[in-house]
Amino acid sequence: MWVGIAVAALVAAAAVIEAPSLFRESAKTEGILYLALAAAGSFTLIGYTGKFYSFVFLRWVDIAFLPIGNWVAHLFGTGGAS
Amino acid sequence: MREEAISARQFTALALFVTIGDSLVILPGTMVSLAKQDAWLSMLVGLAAGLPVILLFLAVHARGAAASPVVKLKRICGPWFGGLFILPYIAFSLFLSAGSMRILGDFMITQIMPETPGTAVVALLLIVAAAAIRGGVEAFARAGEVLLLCFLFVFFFFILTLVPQVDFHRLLPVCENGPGPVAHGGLLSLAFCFIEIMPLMMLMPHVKANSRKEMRRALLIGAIAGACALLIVTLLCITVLGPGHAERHMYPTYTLAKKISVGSFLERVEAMIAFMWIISTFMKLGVNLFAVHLGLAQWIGSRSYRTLSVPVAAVTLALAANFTDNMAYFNHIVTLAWPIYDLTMLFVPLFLLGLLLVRKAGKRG
Repeated sequence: MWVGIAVAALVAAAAVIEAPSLFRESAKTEGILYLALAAAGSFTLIGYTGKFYSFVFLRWVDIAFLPIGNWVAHLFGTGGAS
Repeated sequence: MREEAISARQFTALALFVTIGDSLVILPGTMVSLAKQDAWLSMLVGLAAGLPVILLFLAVHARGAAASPVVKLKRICGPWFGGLFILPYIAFSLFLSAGSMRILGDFMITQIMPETPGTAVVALLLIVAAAAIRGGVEAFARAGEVLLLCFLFVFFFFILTLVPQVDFHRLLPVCENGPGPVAHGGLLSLAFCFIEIMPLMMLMPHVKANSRKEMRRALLIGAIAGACALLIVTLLCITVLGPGHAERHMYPTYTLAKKISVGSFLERVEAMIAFMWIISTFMKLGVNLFAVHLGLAQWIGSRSYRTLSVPVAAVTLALAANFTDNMAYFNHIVTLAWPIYDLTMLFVPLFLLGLLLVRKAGKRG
């Protein structure tokens, strides 16, 4: 938790320094992407959106590919999950 | 701005590191749990199946202008329709980065530093990786060239000190359970060693190769050498530990290093193996993160890919922290779902190759 808060603080500090210069240089898309990614990463690190990230990263891989993986395992005779 | 260039030799080193990556400590145990004493055959099957995949990546690179897959997709399909293929490709590279970070973090907190939070270990590595992104492709490739020497030194030391304990009888009986488990193990080695090279395609336009032949040689040598290193490690796991012992361990290569004993004075050198693994995983992480940064920058038409290094590192850390709830579930996913996801991602280079061939045929017509 404390490590997450420390890293999130670092990310916020970097965003305060770097993001305004991106908007000044007319790199608006880059600036918006910067802020969006920094916010997404920081909120998760301080423990707000962990479940959401867990779904974004792994649950959909599980839902989409595990049935095929199980079928392949049965095909090769190496078992698979029930 | 000056275009960044890396030599064919540096690219070979990167290809070798990406092929080995985090598989060095994870893959042998996973393959032995499926194919038992035939896991080395699985590695050979993976190598045979992986060569066409490498040739596919080279074919995509060789067709059209010397540009990355993201630029080619954007040129042919436009930013929005092309985005349907670019985004999964970038996400794949990002997930690979987070996955390898989580694997390394879990290894450190279970084997070496049990009282340190895993997030701290991952955060430290990501800070270095973000600095590498800021340093640029050239500096990163030069670092790879230097680290390759350290890696090879430790690797050969590892092999030579374990040779006296090798017992080839542990490889018998061959194909005891038929070809099925060998093929499943081969699928794992194909996915983790060869398909996960895909993010390296983003660095191909930076390689200053004199000819396509030189480029092809650089990638093939790197990938095959990496696969051979993994084959040797798998063989050592089986012949020194035995298949039963190797499959019970989460990190059999690390357990193998604990067996090193030269004249009862050179012992407990497993930290060297951890060092070797950290190098290869860090280089794979770097290549994957470069793919994410370059991909995003080229897709949105940004002038520099380096500005996003801090937020991308934060997202990678967040993904790594939320990768999975426990190791049992992780093993389950890695063995069954992840190889299929890797295989599915081949649709991006296959689709792009199809587009490039159709466009070439159209121009001729």
